[in-house]
Amino acid sequence: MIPLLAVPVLPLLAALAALGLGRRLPWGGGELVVGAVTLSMAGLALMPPGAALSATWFESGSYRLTVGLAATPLTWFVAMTVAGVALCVGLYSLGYMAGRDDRPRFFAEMGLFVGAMLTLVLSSSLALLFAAWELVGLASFLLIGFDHAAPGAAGAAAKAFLMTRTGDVGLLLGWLLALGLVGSSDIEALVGTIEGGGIAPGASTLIALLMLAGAIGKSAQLPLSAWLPDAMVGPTPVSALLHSATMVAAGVFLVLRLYPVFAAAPFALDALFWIGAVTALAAGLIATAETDLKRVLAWSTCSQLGEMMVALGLGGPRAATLHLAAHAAFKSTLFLAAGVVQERMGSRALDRLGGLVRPLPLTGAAFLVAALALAGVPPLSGYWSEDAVLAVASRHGPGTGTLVVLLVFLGGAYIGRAGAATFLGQGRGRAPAAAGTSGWAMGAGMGGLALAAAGLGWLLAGQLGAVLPFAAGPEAEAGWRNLGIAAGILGLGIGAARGWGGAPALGTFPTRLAAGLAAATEAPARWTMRLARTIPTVEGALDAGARGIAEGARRAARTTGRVESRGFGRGGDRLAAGLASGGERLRALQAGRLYLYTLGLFAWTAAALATGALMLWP
Amino acid sequence: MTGGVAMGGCMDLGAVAPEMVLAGTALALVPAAGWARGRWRRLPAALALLALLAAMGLTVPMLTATPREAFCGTYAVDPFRAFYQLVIEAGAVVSLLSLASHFRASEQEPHHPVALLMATVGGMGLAAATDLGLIVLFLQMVSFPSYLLVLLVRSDGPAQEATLKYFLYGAAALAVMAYGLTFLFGLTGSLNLRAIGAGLAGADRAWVALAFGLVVVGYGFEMTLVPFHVWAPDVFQGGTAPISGFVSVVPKAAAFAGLLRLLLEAMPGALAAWPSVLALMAAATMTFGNLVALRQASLKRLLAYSSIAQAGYMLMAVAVAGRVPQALPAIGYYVVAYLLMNLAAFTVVAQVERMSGSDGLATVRGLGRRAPWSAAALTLALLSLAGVPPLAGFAGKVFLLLAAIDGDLAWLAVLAAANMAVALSYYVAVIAEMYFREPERPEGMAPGVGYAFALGLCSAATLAFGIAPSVLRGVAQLGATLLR
Repeated sequence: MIPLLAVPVLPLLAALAALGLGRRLPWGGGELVVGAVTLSMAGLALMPPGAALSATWFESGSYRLTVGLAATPLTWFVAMTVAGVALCVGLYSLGYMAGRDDRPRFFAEMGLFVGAMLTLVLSSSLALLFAAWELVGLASFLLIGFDHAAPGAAGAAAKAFLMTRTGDVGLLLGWLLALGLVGSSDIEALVGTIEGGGIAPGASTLIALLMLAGAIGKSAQLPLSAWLPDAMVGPTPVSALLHSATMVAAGVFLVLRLYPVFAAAPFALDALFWIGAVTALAAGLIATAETDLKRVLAWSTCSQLGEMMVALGLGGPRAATLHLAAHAAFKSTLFLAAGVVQERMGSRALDRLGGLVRPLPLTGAAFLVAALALAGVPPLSGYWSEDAVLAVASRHGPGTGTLVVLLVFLGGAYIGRAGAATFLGQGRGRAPAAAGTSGWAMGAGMGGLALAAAGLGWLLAGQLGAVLPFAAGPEAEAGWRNLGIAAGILGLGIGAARGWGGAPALGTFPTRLAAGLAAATEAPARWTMRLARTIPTVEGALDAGARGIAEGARRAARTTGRVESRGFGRGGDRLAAGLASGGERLRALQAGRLYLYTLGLFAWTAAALATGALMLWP
Repeated sequence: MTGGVAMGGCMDLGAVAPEMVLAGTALALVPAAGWARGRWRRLPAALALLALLAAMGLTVPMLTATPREAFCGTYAVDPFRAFYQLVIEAGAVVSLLSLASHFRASEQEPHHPVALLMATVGGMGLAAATDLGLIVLFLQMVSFPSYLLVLLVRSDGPAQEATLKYFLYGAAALAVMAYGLTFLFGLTGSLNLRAIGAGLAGADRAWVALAFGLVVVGYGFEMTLVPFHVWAPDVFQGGTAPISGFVSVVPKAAAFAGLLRLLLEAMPGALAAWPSVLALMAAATMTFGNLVALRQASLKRLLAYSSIAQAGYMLMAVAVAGRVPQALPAIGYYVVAYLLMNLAAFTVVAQVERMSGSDGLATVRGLGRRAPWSAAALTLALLSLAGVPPLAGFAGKVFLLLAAIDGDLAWLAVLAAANMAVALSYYVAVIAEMYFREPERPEGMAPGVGYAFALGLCSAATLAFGIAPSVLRGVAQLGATLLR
């Protein structure tokens, strides 16, 4: 199964090559990564369905840890999405990074990320999935901190790594627990055991909840959401690829991949629903008042991922998959457009932009298409996926249906406001800088994604529906469908009208909500640091104990010394003086070289040993 | 003269061949070190390296030996002993490599191999001794040269204070332990571990618990378990970085081997509730080490607290060693992984320290640009310590956690996993300092073949053992056979 293996390995090799040869290549190694991703995508497209390979990594007692890749309908589809977005963003980065000295490092880290992400998606073993999961986090850490000079980059990188790692502890324990119960780290084995009733309901709920912790961390759901907006200090292609389309969607993918495990644990599904619902609402509200274009998009990503979690929690894995793909397309388009804006304007603060549709018509068009898709306007991709989510939710009950309609409304409001503030109205900042010579690469990448944002949903909901995993459910009722469309358009209108000059779409209270959330979610970290500060006092006490022992020993030695010097010390002194005078006489005979004495001792020992050996010889 | 005849009857010099090679070399190096002048000062280190390699060659065959006893039941010849002796020798080899570079052309260059070899022999003896008298002797033997090493290098104030603290605390801890061992002797009338194990079965539980409580002090001192760790941060910071690396690896590995042998041979079947006591100590050690490490600004202190935390992870598997057959190979694997990553980290710190004369966190600022290879090695070591796949530290942590879960210590496994998340933050702080900050000074790294070899060996092995853990795991499995 060489093609399957090549899919994740090619980008990794390209990353190595870019690091080594990048300085001598015209595009700094980016062409290698883009080429490798193209080949990976071609390999995926040509792959026979059901391809799989697996091997034993190591055995520990009765546990077998496997490594393996498998192209199931789900993994194939998500891998295609990842490779597609990576290809477009890679193309865009060729232009974005043009002329920078540190390009090779960027493309190497990007290749590492794509390879690790494809491994994560295609993995058929929990052990390999976890390894790739950590590598993806590492690549994210490196890429967020790529611009050392940017203020806050190092802090944001570390924060992202640590917060996602907190969730990863859950994933680690979850798969170790599953390994303990199943005896193998193979995902199919776990699913088979769960479906066969081989695991008690309590244990499978625990496994699902632990895995859920990992998914929450990676997908920036509450309470582990604070890292994603801060991660926006990274280069824009990184935000587009990692922090909107692929890496943050890994949490949703994990739930999809282990859906049978979650399906066997109703409590975990409920938890999934509530976490997703609260995150989607809170993040959507915050996005309406955020003043930085990329941070608006980041909160929007949190919200959209929450919507996918809601769909999963309500038993709609197909809707979640469709929304994952559609969201990847339109959200990365929005980011790439934001990247062009920042490139040309030198700022992404909404109150310093405005009126950019005239100098940047193509970017404005791409943004418009993606924004309409996000707001669920037919026939763009977001309409089809949000319709599918709405179908699942409305079937579940009017309350959940209303929730999704509200989310669509919020989506329209924040993106309408951001789009209006950036592209419409009067220009509030300086005049845009001239485009670089390699603007075509950026345009091509952004254009490709915009086309996908426009047409993907229609294709997937129509002719290509067979490539989607999971069985299709019934469609939404016409009333709910129309309500959803209306909510999106209403939101767009309100957002655009209120945000014309960059003002918040729904008042300023979401800003306070954001501050409160940040304070609440960062509290555990603060408590840990406070604990770390108090512990040295405990240690000080232990240290004082140790010092006490030392001090006591010294005091005892001094007392002994005094007794000694007053008592038999006198006699000893006289003896010593006598010996010393004798020694003075001996000194004439022996040169004062300690090493010679030692050697003499040695010679003596050797002679004694030799004599003994001779005497004992039979 | 019957004793002499009996002694002659169970003489088995083959059982101590590696120790004899090392001890003989060390003794021969004492006068040689005094005479060495000029470029001959390199000779002792080279001879010590050869002796260590020869000793390793002599130790390897014992990995497949049938367990037997030598010297009238006072010394064991079994794969367990061979495995830990190999680990100790390997630790000594890597330490010697970086020490040789560190003391290049200095006063101390010819002297340090003597103390290093002596401590190594002590550690090796501790892994094999099955007699209370020998255990006390070898614990002293591993400790005393370590004190000397810390002082030998730098005779300045901090080093002197560190040595005094190390020495006095060690003396007190070992005395307490020796006192505990007398209880074991008093209860059973034997000095032999297996005879004690048979004799303790009917003994009063309270006395056994008291004896265990005293004995664990000595091992806890060498292993830096909370609350017997107080000496470690000061000593690691006071000593030079390569010495701190040696002290953080060799005595610790020896003490783990010694404690395991004592527990499994003399206290089988969870006598004195040692699994629960050790589980609690493991929890305290890892939590304490990680929390304090969060706020360290000195690299050596940071690594000191990190090594305390790592001892806690390993102790977690020691606590279940009596009931989970997979615990012994898990500890064996992790000891090797710990050796590799810790020595690599200390070697880079040694380079930095030699160049800038300090070990503050700021000295590695921008190291990624100034010295890419050393920075990469330190990054690899720190990520492995944090347990990021696919490095040796990750596979090792998986083994330890699996052992704990199997031994019904799920709460401890959860605590350990949470600790690993916390630990990442201080390791990442160092990595961020190296790669995300502009260098403040232009100079590169102290060059040295020894450093390069030590780093290359450790980094390659960290990667290789992480990607293919089954090799090392197989060897550790061999080394799980203990004379019982």
